Formats: sequence, structure tokens, C-alpha cells
Amino acid sequence: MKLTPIFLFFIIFLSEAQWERSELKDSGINPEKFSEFVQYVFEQTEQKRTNALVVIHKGKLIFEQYARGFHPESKFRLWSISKTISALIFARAIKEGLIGLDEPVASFFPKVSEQMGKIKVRDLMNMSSGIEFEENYINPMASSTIKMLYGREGMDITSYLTSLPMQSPPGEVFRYSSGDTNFLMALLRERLKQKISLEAYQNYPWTSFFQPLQIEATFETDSTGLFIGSSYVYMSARDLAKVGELLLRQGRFNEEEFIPREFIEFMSTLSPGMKNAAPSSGSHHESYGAQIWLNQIFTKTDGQSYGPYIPSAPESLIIGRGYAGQGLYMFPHKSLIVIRLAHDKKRVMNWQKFGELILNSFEDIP
Amino acid sequence: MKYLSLLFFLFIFLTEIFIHAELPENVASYYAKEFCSCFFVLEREEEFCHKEHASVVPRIGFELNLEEKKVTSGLFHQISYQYTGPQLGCRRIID
Repeated sequence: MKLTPIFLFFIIFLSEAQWERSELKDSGINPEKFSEFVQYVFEQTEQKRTNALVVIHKGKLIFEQYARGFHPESKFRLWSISKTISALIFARAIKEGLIGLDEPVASFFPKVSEQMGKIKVRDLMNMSSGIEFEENYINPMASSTIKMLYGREGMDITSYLTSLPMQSPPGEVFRYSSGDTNFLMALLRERLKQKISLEAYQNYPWTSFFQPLQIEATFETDSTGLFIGSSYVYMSARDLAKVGELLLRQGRFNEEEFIPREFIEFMSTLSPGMKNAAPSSGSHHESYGAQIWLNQIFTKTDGQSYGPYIPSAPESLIIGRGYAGQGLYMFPHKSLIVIRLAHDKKRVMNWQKFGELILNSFEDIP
Repeated sequence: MKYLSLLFFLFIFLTEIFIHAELPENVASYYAKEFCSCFFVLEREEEFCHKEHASVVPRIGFELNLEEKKVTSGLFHQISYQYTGPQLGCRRIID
């Protein structure tokens, strides 16, 4: 087939995926330090298994590198970065007036237990629902996550989650839970079914979020069609950078408010339940907002202070993180987005060193 | 005596597997699901996808049906996932 100039234009346009490029040397970055950072990310290929590294600075693509057969158009597993994306899709429904942060679960599922009925949307966002859910990837017999993603329970996640007992009162204890994110997806389905149609829910991630942002995404569901918001969003690294840019711009896209600014502020505010964080919820130094990790110092009720997770970075850093070493790092003070995608199951990447090395290369830039 | 205890252990182990089928079923489900997404959603080569997931759980009773875009895994408890398209990816088939 002979390629006409118009056809060629479309190929180039699509492959560039709408990112304006800027040369590294024009960004004012220290090249030696940046090269040290890149080398660190890709070294120990067999252990670290880094698949992609993308860096966006001041809204421009300044660097990208791929490995292990992946390329700019490849889709990647985002694992728990899906949670951040699911929250943003949910926020579109808030913006449209379909759903509110303070609505209780009982207004969606009137038949659940009295205590479960009192859980508010904001509690689920803050990973503080109080539902007993074992987020565990090691012991398959005890893990609620494995049951939800791969077990018979996962064929109808809504029934599974609504059948679980409560462990603590809603809103009081932070307990990282993939169940809480999928519960949000169940609420979204109920509300769209009530107010529009089931079909509206099935198309909602695309009509409300992916298509306006020109993101080509896959979003997998359970056997009933419930979006598995905790884990199963797939997209290219360049498209993921658009999500990062949306967060850096406080929810603005094309000079318009795409996600309510107050919602972005809510996401990056410490989850109130962090003061009572359950011991199993991540390392002691990780702080959480609403479906996103933070870099803040926080104090627990025992009087001890924890954090920040990345000591070399300011508290404004927000992080999307996923299983096997997925990282979407957003540094508002440098207008910088750094994405690392991998199959790093042994957790070889030292994220503190990652943060330190990237910030070292930007230290001369105000 | 040594063989008797080994046989007894094997009997207990197999009884556990057949009565509490959850573990082998979840292992099969993991392999079928993650292979399906790797092969059809990420569009990676068959060998690559096996290598990525066989390191986590064993590859047992695996079958890739290209015509139906279906992936099956498991010996006694077979689980299948089907690729539904670029938007919704892989979904478990109700047995």
C-alpha cells in the first residue's frame, strides 16, 4: 500500500499522542545527573524489569525510554494506579451532580447492614470504610484481594463486598483496601442505573473521562460488568502522563475545569483515618489522601510522627503507585511528572533513591 | 512405614485440594486472567506472557484458543477468560 502524505500525517499525529516535545538540553536539566537517574532506573534489568520511563516537564515530553520489547504505543498494566484513575472518573460524576461525597452507602444499597449503610463516599475514597478486607498478596487463603480478583467471589464483586463484616466504624481507621475502590465503582453503577441507564455506566469511563482526554484505555470488569477500579486499567505511558498533567493542573484541562478543584484538594489532603492507620497498611512512612499516596508527615494517636515517604521531596509530591513497581510521581514544585512502569515483583526499585536522583537533576531549575 | 506416612500425607493433600478447591482454582484463574490480558490487551508474544506469569504460579492445563480469543488454565478446576475487545479487555467466563 502506498502511503499518501495525509495518511502519513495521521500516523505521525497518532504516534506522538498529543505530547509536545522539548529537548533535554533546553529544559535546563543537569545532563550528567539525569543520565545517572536513567541508568539507575534501567540497571539490573533482570531483577528490576523496568519497562518504561517517561518524564514530562512543564507540560512537555522531555524524555522517554522503553525496554523489554515495550514501545511508546504499548499499553501497560497500571495495577493500583487504576485507583487514582477510578477516583477521577468518579469525580466526573460528582461534577455532573450525579453523586455526592457525603452520601451514605444506604442510599445506594438499602439492604446492607446498618453500620455498612452509614459508610460515606468520602470514607471509601479515604480507604477508611471500616469493612474487614485483607489486602494481602502473599497468603492466598487469607487474602481478600486474591479472592476478589481471581476467586469465585470476584465473579460478582458487589455481592462479595456487601457481604463482608465491618471491622471498625466508618471513617475512623485507614486500612488500604482494593475493596473500597471497587465499592466506589459499585456505587457509581447503582447511581447511573438509577438516574440514566446501565448502558451509561458501561460507557461512562470513556464518555466522561478517556475520550475527552484522548486516552486509549482498557478497563476490565468482573463477570457482572462492574469495573475493577482497584487494579485493571491499562494505557500507554504517554496517556498516563495526561492523567498526571490533569492532577498537576488541579483538574483543569483545555483551560476548563474538568475535575472540580475541591475534589483534587480532597484527594491530596491526608485521610483522617491515617491517625489510626492499621499496622498492615503499607510502610510506616507512607501517607494517603483519597485514592492517591502523599508525601506528608503525619502523627498517629500514639503521638509518633511518620514520613515523609520520599525525604528529598517536598510534601506537595503526590504519587500513584501500583503492584510490581508502577509509579506515577507528580512534583508540583517543579511542574514535573515522572512515570516508571515495570514488572518489578521483587520490589528491587528503591523509590527514595529514585526521588533523590530525579530531583538532583532538576535542582538548578526554579 | 516411611512410604505409608508419605501416602497418608498425599491423601490429606489431595483431599484438601478436592474439598477446598479454592486454592487450585485461584491459581488457575490467576494464570488464565493475567495471560489473557498480557497476550490480548498488552499485545505481547505468547512466550513473553508465559515467562512473566509462570514465575508466580505454575502453568497447568493451559490452553490458548486464538479463534475464540479464550484462555483456559487448570487441571481439575478449569477457568477460562475471554478477550472481549480493546475497551473491556478480558473477562472471566461463567462456568
